[in-house]
Amino acid sequence: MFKDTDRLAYYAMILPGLVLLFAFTFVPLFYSVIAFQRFNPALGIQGSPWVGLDNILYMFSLRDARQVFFNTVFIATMKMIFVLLTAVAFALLLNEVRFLRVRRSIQTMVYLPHFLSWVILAGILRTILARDGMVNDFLALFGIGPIYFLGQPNIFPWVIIFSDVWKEFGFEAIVYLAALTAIDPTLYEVAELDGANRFQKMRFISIPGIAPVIVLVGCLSIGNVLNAGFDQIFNLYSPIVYSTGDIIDTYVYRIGLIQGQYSLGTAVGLFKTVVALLLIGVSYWAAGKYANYRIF
Amino acid sequence: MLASRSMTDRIVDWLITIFLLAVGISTLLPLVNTLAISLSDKAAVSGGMVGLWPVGFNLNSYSFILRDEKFWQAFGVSVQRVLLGGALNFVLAVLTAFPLSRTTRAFPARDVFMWLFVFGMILNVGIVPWYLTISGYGLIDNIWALVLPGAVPIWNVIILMNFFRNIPKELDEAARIDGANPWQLLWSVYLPTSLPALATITLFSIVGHWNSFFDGLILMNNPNNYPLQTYIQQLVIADRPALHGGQAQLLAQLSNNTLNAAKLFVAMIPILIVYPFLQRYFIRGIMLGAVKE
Amino acid sequence: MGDRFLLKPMLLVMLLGLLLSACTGPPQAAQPAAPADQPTATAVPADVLAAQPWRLTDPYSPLPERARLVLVKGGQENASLMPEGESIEDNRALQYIEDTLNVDITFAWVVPSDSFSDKLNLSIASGDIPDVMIVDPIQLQQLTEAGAIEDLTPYIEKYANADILENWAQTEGVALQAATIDGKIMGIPNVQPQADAPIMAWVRQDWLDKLGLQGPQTVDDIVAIARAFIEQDPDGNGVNDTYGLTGTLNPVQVPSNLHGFDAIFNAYGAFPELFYRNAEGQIIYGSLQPETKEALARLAELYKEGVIDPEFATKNTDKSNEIVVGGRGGIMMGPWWVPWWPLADSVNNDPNADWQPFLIKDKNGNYTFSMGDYTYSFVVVKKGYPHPEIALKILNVQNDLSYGLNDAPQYYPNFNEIWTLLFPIPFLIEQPYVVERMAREYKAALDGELDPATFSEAMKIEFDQIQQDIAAPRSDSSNWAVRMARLDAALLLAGGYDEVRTDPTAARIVASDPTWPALKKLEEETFLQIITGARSVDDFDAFVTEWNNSGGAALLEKMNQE
Repeated sequence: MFKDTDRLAYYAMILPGLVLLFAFTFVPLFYSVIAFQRFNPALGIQGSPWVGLDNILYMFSLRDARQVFFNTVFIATMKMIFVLLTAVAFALLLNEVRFLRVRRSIQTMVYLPHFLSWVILAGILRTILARDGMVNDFLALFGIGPIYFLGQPNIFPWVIIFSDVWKEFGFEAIVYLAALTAIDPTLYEVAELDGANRFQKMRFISIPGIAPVIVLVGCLSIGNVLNAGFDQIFNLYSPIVYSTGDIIDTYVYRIGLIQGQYSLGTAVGLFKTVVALLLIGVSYWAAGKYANYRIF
Repeated sequence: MLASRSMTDRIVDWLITIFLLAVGISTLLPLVNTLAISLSDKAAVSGGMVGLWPVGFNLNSYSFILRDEKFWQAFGVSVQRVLLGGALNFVLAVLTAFPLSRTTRAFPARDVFMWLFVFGMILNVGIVPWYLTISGYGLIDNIWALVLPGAVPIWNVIILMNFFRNIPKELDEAARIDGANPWQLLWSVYLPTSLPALATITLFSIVGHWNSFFDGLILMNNPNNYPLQTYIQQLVIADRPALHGGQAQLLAQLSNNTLNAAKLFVAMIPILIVYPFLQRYFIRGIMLGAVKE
Repeated sequence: MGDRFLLKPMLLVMLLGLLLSACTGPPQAAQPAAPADQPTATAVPADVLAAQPWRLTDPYSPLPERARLVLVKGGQENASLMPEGESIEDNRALQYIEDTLNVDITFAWVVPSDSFSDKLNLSIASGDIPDVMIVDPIQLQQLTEAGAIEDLTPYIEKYANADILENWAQTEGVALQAATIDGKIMGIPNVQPQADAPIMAWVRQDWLDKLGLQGPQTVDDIVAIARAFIEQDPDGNGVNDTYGLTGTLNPVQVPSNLHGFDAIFNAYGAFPELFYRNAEGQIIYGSLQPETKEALARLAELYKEGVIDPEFATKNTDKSNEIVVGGRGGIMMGPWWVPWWPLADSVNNDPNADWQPFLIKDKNGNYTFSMGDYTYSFVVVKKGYPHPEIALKILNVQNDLSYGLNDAPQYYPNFNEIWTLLFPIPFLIEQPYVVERMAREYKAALDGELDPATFSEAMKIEFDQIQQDIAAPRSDSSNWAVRMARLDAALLLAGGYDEVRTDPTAARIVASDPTWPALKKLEEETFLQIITGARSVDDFDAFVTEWNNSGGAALLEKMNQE
């Protein structure tokens, strides 16, 4: 039944993908050794002097490196929490809407930002968050502001977090909505016969019904706490908000490529890679254990 | 059942509906504001007077864009990258997913390869080695630099593989009995039955290619090779004005603000066009990605 | 950074009218490659060489055989300013250089000015550098350590022309010293016209007149005028839409900062970003001094009050230029050359925009300014390029073109605005005080004390433009710009001022110090945050401590030991 020629065909099919995977994912891994060198592009990897762990140690001594690490974890965690809460709340409420047409229209509206790039959305945000922009005009109605959203270090991270909520909550709600439709309708009917009100049905049927999905999303998020969203921050930040808005990825880009501290940039990047691999391992393990999930 | 619903219940129903409609509409307000700015008079815009409705309606920005070579050049690069990248992603996803969907009995190396790809997916080595690799291949300023590094869409491979695995074994066996080899099997059985999944992953990669700007920014030295998102990023985010004082006639009609808003909007149009498909297939894609065993 | 590559007219000349002179002839078609051992004819015909013996001297001698030269360039965003039918890659000045020196110049890439430095760093990272390029002191150090560039010591004396050697000499040797690493001259140093550093206040006289105000002399005057411009509707459009002081995300940047607060710092006796010697002869860092704190406190007050653009900290130069060009701002801080860019655009849009320059006095009634280094950039040649001397030869010809010497083509009416696009290596080796000298000569000619017939061709043309603008002010923005920059602003500087500048040794130590980027980031961030009120002024002392602890103290110690 299983012929050798079949296997040959399978190898042939997988070969192009493997070659590209090797060329663009594993070759860079080889280049990462410059984290342990004083890398000089003109000398190349062979010619550059080895310095052992100097770059890694220097990284830990840098105030900037510690700060971007904190900023990254803070922004990423807050994003997860707020996107998750908003999405769950939205899904629960949408589940109460009985008019199917209205429901669909609402979904159509809230999914759209997910498909637009951060370049476009940042362009829009810069306009509406300006001093004479739409948001400050609106706040002025209540006598608030004007607020310098993109230029105040204590506000900037929240701009990042809530603009991410704006882009993603609707889309993340999809999985919760799917879980809600999978709940057996007779459960609700029985509850109604018992005189349960809307809130009680939500509390005792809907929420437990989607709890496994919430756990799953939460577990998978662990792998992302070092990804605070390069595209988004790169297109919205500026030097005045570096102290709270600079994240590992933007920092590595600036020092590693733009300022030419190649080895230091690679060291910080490598550190992130290692921690991220551990976290992703943990997240898959947790997802498997608590939500019975496997990606393949 | 419905008849027994109380008055308060119905009022709450309405309140929830109205609230969610308000949420939905306010999600779109920033986009409406951008559209309004792009259609407004430049003085009204610089005075911060434009809200959700154009002030001093005109189409100057759009007629300027129609004649703007740089914009269309960047648009062309994006289209080229979407076609090239989308096709490459499609072929490689199919070719990679199919052997991986086989059992270890049929394809003993399957598990090893699977782990390699998954490891490749979660491994992200950082920008410096990545840049050195691609420039080492001499791909700088070359359209292939935008499509080759991400040519194997591993997440799409996993989606497709899961889909292939759920195709009834009977179809497979029937073809086998007719003497089909793996290539024929893939072509005449698996591809035709997987159209929804294929549509999903194709949309995934089209949107991904259309939306990415950063690789264009650092891998293309010549601004003429920038894809549209990179081009817009340079104008709108890095604030490099498209109009200069020398162009006095143009400046009398429009400003960088109105023009940028119009460019943002034109760059959104392709996404808006495919949006109905996106909504349908992406949702399915999310579910496929979440397939559990 | 980017502004340095922009239309920055320095010792330049308006070149008018004539088409290519007969001497240069039509552009030579590229010659087929000849075998290496067989020298080919140069592009310059033999009879021309005989008639113009200077072409055979070392600084101008054509290469023995046609060679390829790969360069890179910024300025792409201004390509539309080029004359019809010409481009950055193909123009007559470039062809003249190619033909004179027998070289084929191509550009690996041409990018917008402010991404030039990023792109060059990326190229250096990939190890794929152009044959000749302009680098900063940090890059010079890196490339030297890498052994990636040629030692130019043997070529400097032999191939630099007399003007360039003289201009270097006028820096008291600082220029060549800055280019010397371990006893070898690794790059060709520029000489920055010193006039570029002092920042003056450019104020719209028409607005002052309308509101019955006098031109500013002190920081307090500037503040009073800014308040009036914000509140009293100087443009008379009935809308409250005018700005006071503009700014950018670089509050301090030496030299030549547009929309910067440098002059305000200087007026407080503060010299941030400079490593200079104090009265005791110790090298100190200006950003840490109490005077800097005082100036920051004032700026923070002004920001809070709304005198400074509330969104300056997220604006770049282009964004703030829009304010003054668009007629919504009447004060612009900038060097003497801003009439060419961006103020000429303002005059184009509104011929009533009567911008006038004013110098700001410090507390003691003196003028004292932060000065730039004589040298801040270098032309280097890639290791292994067969004709390293070509870089010097090109610079010789470029200098001549800008003086209008020899048989240089003189046909670009907007030369001041496009010279960085025309020249393959947009780089100047000037007399340090040329701007002031020319201003004095123009003034003397206007007063009848000097015969303009003694001027060089280039100065004659400018003098003509100045006279045209005096006859009909602001009727032509190019003439206006020449008059305002060359005469009015440059004369202010010619009146004399005190200089504070970074010690040359300190500059070299900074360039090779690995902690410097982090220190600079800390400083930039802190200053912006103090001005905008995100941190209190008292945090300045914490900043000084942190700066010292993050490697700054060690850096200063090293400077003072050498």
